[in-house]
Amino acid sequence: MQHPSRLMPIRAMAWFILLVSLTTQVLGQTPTLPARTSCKQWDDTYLEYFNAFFWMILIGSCVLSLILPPLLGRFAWWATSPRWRIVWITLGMLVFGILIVVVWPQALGFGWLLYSGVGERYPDCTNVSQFGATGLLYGAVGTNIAAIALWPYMLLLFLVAALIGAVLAFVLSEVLLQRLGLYVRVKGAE
Amino acid sequence: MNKIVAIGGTGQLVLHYYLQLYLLGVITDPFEAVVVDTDDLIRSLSAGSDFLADLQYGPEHNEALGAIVPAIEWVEVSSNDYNTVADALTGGYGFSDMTRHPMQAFFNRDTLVQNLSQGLYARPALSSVISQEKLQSEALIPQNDSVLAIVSSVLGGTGGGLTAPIIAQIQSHAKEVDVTMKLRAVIFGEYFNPDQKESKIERKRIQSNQTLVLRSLREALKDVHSFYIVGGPKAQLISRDAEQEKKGEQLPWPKEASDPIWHGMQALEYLFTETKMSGTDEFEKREVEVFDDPNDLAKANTRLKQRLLTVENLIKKEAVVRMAKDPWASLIWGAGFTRLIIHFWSIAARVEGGKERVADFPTKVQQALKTLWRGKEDQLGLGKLFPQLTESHPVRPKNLSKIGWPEVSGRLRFDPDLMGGVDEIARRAAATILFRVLREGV
Repeated sequence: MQHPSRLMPIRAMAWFILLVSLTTQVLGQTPTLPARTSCKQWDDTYLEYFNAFFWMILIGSCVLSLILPPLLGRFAWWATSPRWRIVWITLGMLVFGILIVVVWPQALGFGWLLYSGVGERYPDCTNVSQFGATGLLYGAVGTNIAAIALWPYMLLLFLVAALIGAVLAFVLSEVLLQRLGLYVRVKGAE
Repeated sequence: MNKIVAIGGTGQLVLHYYLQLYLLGVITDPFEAVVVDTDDLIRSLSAGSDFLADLQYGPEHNEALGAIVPAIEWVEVSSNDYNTVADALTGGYGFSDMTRHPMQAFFNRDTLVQNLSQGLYARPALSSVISQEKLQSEALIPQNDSVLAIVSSVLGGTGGGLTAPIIAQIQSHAKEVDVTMKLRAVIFGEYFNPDQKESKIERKRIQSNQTLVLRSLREALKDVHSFYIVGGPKAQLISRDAEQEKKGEQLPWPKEASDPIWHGMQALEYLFTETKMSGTDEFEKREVEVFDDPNDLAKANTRLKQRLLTVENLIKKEAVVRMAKDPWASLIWGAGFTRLIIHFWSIAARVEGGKERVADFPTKVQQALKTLWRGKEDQLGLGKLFPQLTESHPVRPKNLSKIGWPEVSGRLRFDPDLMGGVDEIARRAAATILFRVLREGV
């Protein structure tokens, strides 16, 4: 009977060669891109969030700038300034939208919590051509490009939404002031 | 209404703190104060007096919007027409070694050449001969059924020399106009160590005055219902900064309730509010020996901090300007505060002939708030009446809505002569706001 110790180096060498060759094959393998249908589905889901936040920033900036002050103004000085509070509330909405829709996916990825409906591999869809991406704002910007790749436009559109919301809030606030402000209640000369 | 007759530097100093406690709502009842001094009115009292005058709304001088407020008068007993003591005593002839005048029998050369503009250098004899005719002032006449309290020290020239003549004068006035009153007195014995270099007053002179005046007070206080003596021969002495006191600018509050000025002020409040003590002929029994402080120093300090920071925020955050630009002003600042602004704004609109002419009224009120509180170059602001704050305290806008703002609905009786123009109306509105924030702030 042969002594087992004589076969050990040969076996170890054989295992090593096998491991190296398999690893080389795995690493050298070209990854497969997500399927077009998956990309389309994920892109649409992500766009839903973008669109929702776009409108939320626009309407929220306007509405919250008008309805929050009577509540917050009693506790916080910043909310007592009729113009600056519109700026602060709008800025708050804008930052919130950017954090959720732009920063989160870039920093923390997809596939969990709010983005559990978007696959982890959605960013790979930027390399998938012609999967039928709708584009931002129902096709107004970046048709056929994965929404995730359009993040600079998202920032710009959020900014535009915030500005529109703020201007609307300002105009409505002035209208309310003409009807409810102190000046209206001042009695003039008899 | 109770009346305080504050005599000399000590009387003014007590009034300086008493006024602060009133403005902070620690002392609830309004009062009339008459300052009798050979020196000028200290600047803080002057600022306080101007502020109280700005509060006037109705025809009476102390009638503010929804409140009766104190009034401060000053009976100047120094002889401004003359430079020196000798001038005053000789009718302007002055003093020279060749002069032969009876005054030389009573006063030495050093005294006669002293300048009257700098007080009486703790010489009671001087005040009693120089100031007599000035005590005829009607300001010293008390109201019927009121309490009149004298606050004076027996140490200095003014208090030592004038306390007894003033009491006599008040009693004489009261008899003349058939007024009954309760006369009370807070008398300061030795309580401070004079800075001889600064004040040119020697301590032995103060001690000598104390002995002389305390003895004569037994006679002078014959008709006084009750009195309290602060300090005295064995009291612990504090230091005073005469120059700082004259300025009256941000004088610090005492750290201990045992501080003689604070204690004297408490005695004054006690004598005003005390009702149980019956009148007695025995002089010794009329002296109040111990009493419980009506006001707590720590609580007063907290209130001071709260109110001053509320005013600072009101000015720094331009609350009135914000209010005018806010459709939700009533919800944020409260209905009372906004109604008050509208009320004065409407008066301004009527006076100026249309509200479009006074569209910037809130800005004017805001500016007036700042000027009244911080002062101008030649005018001490009300804020300087109070000590400088070193602590912070959170102030929220809702604090302003909780203040008991004066009711302005219904027909109000304001004096049209006081509302001459938009600036004056804005100043009165600002004074009313400051008064309410200080008195009733939370």
